[in-house]
Amino acid sequence: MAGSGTAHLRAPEDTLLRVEHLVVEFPVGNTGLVVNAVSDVSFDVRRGETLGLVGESGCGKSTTGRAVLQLPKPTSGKVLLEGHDITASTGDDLRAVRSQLQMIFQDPISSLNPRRTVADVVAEPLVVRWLESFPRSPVARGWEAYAPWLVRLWNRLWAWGRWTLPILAVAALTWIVGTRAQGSGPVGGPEPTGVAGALAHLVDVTPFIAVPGLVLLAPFVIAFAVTAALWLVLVLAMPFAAIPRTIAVRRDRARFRAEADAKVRDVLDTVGLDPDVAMPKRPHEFSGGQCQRICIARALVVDPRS
Amino acid sequence: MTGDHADFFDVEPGMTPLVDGLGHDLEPVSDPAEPPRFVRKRWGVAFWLAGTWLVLLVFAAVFANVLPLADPNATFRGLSRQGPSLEHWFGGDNIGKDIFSRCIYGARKSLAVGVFAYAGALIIGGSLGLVAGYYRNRVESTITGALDVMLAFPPLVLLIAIAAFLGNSTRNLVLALTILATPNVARIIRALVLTFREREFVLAARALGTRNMRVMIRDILPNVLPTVGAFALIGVANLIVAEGALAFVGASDPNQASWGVMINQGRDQLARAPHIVLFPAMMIFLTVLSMNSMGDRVRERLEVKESNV
Repeated sequence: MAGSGTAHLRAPEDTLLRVEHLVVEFPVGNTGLVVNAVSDVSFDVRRGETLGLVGESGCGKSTTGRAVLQLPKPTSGKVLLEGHDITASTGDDLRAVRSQLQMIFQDPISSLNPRRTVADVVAEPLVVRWLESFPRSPVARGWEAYAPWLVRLWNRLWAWGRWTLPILAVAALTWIVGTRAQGSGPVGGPEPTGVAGALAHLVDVTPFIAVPGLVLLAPFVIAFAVTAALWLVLVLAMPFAAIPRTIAVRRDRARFRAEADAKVRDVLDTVGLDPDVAMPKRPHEFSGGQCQRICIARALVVDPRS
Repeated sequence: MTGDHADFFDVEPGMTPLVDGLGHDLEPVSDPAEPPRFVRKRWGVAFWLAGTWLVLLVFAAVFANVLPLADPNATFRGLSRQGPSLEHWFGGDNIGKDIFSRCIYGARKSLAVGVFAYAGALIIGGSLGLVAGYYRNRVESTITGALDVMLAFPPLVLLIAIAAFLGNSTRNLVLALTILATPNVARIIRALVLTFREREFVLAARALGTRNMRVMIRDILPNVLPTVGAFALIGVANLIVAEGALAFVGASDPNQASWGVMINQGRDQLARAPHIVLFPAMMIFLTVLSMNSMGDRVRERLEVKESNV
């Protein structure tokens, strides 16, 4: 059942998907205005149920569907999959959730990669899931834990230093250059003129700005150096740390290929395409309707929740 | 076409019948029995000529040691500034070295510099462009900002500075040309990636829970690569010209012959013995022309293919 408000929603325990107060807004350029693509939509779907969204063009039907998949994340509202709120999940959790929800796109031809064969396209969800089943190397996990922290740190530093930093940096530079200009003239000779002279005079004033400036700059420089070093170590270590995982993946490949091949054949048969004919071909060799069948096969191959 | 308007649409004898009711004569329809003819797209004569030239050149450059060529660094008595002859096909240069042999050995350096520098630019600039085009956030603005700075730097000054501070060895030349070509490659690849990242198959891949890295490598890169291949031919040609220009200002190792080095060494004899400059210049001209025309042809073909994908 669908609509605004939550009065029509059923008991949460027997619903598979429950969407509450879904709002999606898109910014209009840099104007600060927003387009309300989806405003306050709530619905729920029970096991085995089919829900149809009807509306005029551009009213946000597809956007609602995409927001459920968190592509892009909704502005506000909750999406509960078996009682688990997926709007809160990010990164690996989010990708794991997405593979349980499958989408069949409006334009069947555009949603298939033109350079891959049907066998590859339909097997892709299985490959993704299979690759996810191998634990990632500790370095890669460290990187994933560290990168968001780095971004947050950078954002905070940037928010704080976006106006003060350039001024302080210019002051420090003036001081350094000015000191040099002052020292460059012959002792007891004529005062330096022009730009050097102006800087030399400025330098009498600037230490009051420049010395605290340098002190304030130091944490930024240190933070930058430390993060850069950490980044370098992680990036250099990553390929080596990934070797055991790669070996495990290679060892399991033959088994997986056979299993995936059987599943792909099965699902292509289900949607009414001859596996032997369809699998080696590329999407542009099929009609729109056949491409739609391939898209459906791709969505069905991982047994999404129903 | 009946009722009130019947008189208007009546066909008089000798008049073409108006069938569509708007007064247009219909186009004569071709005989439906004739099957549609599939015209096979041809590469054209220019393409094959260019290809032959490049294959010959690469062959000669690779097997220069084995081929019966004169020693490129030996001076021959009485050959100095002599014009073409049967023995020395392109004549001799200022101090009596065989120009034909030097042109072939020079092809080695010119081609190798162009190919390696562009390969380096493809690896560095390609990954930068791919990441910048895919993410479209602060990552993109950082990368494009850095690339703009690199583009704004005067290229000749950079190249001469590298030659002056690090020396004019061939390795430094490749390094300098890589730096020069990187921002252009990155921008081309970023633009190509931008057209593909909005396609629904990328969204479909992300909806499957695919990692960004895998989306970039498996979904976007294969679509971008063919076009990059066509651009690479033109890019290598540009770098060969750039190497020539650098050699002309003395930033290329003069002890290792390349076409640019040969032109530089012959330039003060231009009035007396123009063939010293003419032959290496002709080599550059033909090679660059071949690469450009082949690159253009390949790109045209790819565009046609792209439309029915």
